[in-house]
Amino acid sequence: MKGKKSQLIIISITLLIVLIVFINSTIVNKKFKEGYIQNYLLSNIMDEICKTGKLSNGSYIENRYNIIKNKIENYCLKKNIICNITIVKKSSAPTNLTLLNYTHFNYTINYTSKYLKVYRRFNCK
Amino acid sequence: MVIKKSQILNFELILGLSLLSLIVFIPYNNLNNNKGIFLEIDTLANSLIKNNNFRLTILSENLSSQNLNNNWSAIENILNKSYKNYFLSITNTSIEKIVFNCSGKFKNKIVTEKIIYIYNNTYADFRILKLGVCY
Repeated sequence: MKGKKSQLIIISITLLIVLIVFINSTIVNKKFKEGYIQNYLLSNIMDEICKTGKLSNGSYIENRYNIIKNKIENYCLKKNIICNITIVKKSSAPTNLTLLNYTHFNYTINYTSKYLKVYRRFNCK
Repeated sequence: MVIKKSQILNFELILGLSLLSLIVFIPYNNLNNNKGIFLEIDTLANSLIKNNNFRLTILSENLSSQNLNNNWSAIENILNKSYKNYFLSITNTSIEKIVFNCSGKFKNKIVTEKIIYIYNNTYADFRILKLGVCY
């Protein structure tokens, strides 16, 4: 009787440990996968901003930056992510609009989601 | 040699617990498999959106119409070489148009999303490309 009782205790404890490890591994799995996917989204956002800047003429560049910034921020919101993008003209930027290009701006992104929190200042090369 | 009943019970116990422990590693294995497939699709989607012709194809596809108005055979060829069952859609956040859809029965669908801001001289649009694999 004593032997059976101790066996039951061992089984119960082991089952509990296995269950905890299983649940924990599932949570870690999900967190890692989401973080991984969102890291790719972050680089996708930066790539598109830079591509927009590189393919825009001086007079169009600020307007296009505003559009892409709003579109991306709305897209992020729909996914429950906060993407605060700031694209600010450098003080050294030329006043003549035709000379303005993507190198005359400072770019930052503040990305906050359930799985990833990143503040990044980036340059377009 | 006589095997005691308690020894058989202990053996069964160890066997049962070993099987349960194996189950614990299934999520880890799935994670590694999914990670590999996701990386493959994401790399492919990345290379596609870097191609200007492909970007223009996405931009010029009429999302309000159900029929495809562009020739997608070049993309289809690329996807056919890599995957048996795949999914590709374009959305402007309100309308989603499926270009290729997964067929038959499948257990998993892994999809990557790419945002694209595209324009020509007269028109600009923000679209999302979804590329996925079903297996």
